[in-house]
Amino acid sequence: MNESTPLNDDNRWEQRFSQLGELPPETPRPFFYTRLQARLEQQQATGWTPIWLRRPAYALSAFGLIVVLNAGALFYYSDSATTTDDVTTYDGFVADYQPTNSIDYVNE
Amino acid sequence: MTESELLIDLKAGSETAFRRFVDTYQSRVYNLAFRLLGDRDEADDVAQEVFAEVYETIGQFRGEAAFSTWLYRITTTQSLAHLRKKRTRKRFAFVTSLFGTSNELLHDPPDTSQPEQLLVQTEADQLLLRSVSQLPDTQRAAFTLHYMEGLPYKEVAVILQTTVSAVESLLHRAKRQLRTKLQPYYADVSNGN
Repeated sequence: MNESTPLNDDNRWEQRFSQLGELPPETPRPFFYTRLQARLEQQQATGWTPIWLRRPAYALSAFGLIVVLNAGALFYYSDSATTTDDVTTYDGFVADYQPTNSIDYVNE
Repeated sequence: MTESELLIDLKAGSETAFRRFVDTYQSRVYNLAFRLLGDRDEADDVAQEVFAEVYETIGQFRGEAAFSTWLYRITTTQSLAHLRKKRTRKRFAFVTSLFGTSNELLHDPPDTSQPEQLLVQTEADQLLLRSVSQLPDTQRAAFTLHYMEGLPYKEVAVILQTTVSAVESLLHRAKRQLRTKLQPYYADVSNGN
């Protein structure tokens, strides 16, 4: 197709797109098979490794996050546990039940 | 040796058959990967990945589709996955640079096509190829398989694991986008600008 021709109709566009199929094919660099063989040998030598082992930074970050969350939870619950302990102290008991200090020794 | 004989030998684990298989298909696999990725080094890497996958999964090939179709499917899937990974890496370039252990390229590498290849391509071809590379992934894959590899809609549908009508829709949208993008260029050329 002549490049100077305006592309107005479908057929001309179709023709233009189809011309891409006529581009010379790209070929890999020499010794492709040798490189492939080296890759396969390397894969077989190292075997399969999980992603957290290949990128330990991610595993460490996840571990750090778990530690922080646990520490936060521990702090939160220990704080609330302290407030409940207050109720169970002697003062709390006295405030709740207001016992008298006198002891009646009726039978004595 | 016919394709079915080659397949039998491949499944039996013959290294000679594997070498013959690679020699036969390496150009087609590499060419498709290059058309989808637009970079020689990345295409080489993906082509190796494709053959490595074939080596490992050849036993799972049941012959429901043609062998070349199966190979095209692996190449397309690997290439699109590579593009997605590349985009994710770019998007989180800062974070990955903190975490990354390898010195991977995070920028667009220059076009490393051979000079003689560039001479063969006209300016219009390069512009068109650049526009194709900017299409969404599935549209780009459908366009490349149909127009550059010359595959019929039916085979493109099998490769992309979709229906023929979906392929038609993808191609329709791809062509509409390309026409919108390229129309001003062709108008300029025809006006002598």
